[in-house]
Amino acid sequence: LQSKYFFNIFEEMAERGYLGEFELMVLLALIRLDEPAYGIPIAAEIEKYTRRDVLLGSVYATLERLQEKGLVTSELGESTRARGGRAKRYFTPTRKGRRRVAETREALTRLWHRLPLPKGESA
Amino acid sequence: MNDPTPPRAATWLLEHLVPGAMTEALAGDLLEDFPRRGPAWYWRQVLLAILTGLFRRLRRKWLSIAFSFAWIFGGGEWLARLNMWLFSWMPVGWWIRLPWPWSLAVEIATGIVMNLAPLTLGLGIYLLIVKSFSLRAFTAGFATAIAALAVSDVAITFLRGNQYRLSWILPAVLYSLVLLISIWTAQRRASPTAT
Repeated sequence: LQSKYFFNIFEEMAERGYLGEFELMVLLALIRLDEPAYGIPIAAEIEKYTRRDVLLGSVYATLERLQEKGLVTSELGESTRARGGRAKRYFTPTRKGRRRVAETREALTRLWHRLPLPKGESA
Repeated sequence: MNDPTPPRAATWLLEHLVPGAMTEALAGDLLEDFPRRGPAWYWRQVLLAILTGLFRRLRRKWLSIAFSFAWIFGGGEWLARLNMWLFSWMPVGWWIRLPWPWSLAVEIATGIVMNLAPLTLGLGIYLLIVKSFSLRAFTAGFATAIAALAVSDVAITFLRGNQYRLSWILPAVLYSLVLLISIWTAQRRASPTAT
């Protein structure tokens, strides 16, 4: 892979505002869940597929950032005794959020496409 | 089976030290998942949420923090010359002859007046740089600077009066913090929704 081409892709990503790794994971989890979801199911979905422990604080910090960028919307839900009377906050990806995921996927696919496979792996 | 009550200290820390609009939802989620996960998980989530929040806040405010410390530490000598030029007419030390508490009050008031000019200049320049200058924002920052200067000058006077040997670093750090607090107040007034 030519370094010139490699850096061009990153420059393009920065210009278009592609998603960071965890932002992408959170948005993908939301899209996979296919219904408005709050912190626990989103974290569980990421844990299920990444097999790594997820911090709820990071999930909410990321969701707050995604909301500021207009990529998700949120609304308050019910509060239960198990939650100490605190309301749930349900998140939904916006059309812009879904489009950004698709753009990030295209850019990453282009990056992977030009990368030689590690030894022992076949396409 | 786990104790169904999460550690109170951790909950208090979460509610008071994690910034942002999502804290209530996060606290509810942690409470909901606590019976399944246990206290060690709860503590870990809370402490890392506090750290994440702190780093987010610092990342958002790095420019104002860097500017405040650079203005005071970098421009210290230049600002001292400005002060000498501005207040060359003012006799210094005459208040020592006044009875207490007037001597202390005049000393603190003089400290505020003398330090206000460089801080106000710094506040104004910063607001112009980040394009959030308005009379309303500047006035809020200016009023905060006076109040914060009063507190820091009382602290410095108290430490000096108790024979503590103060290097120039402590007052410089205090004045940097005064400028920082003034900038944050001014910015909040400029855009009340800013965190």
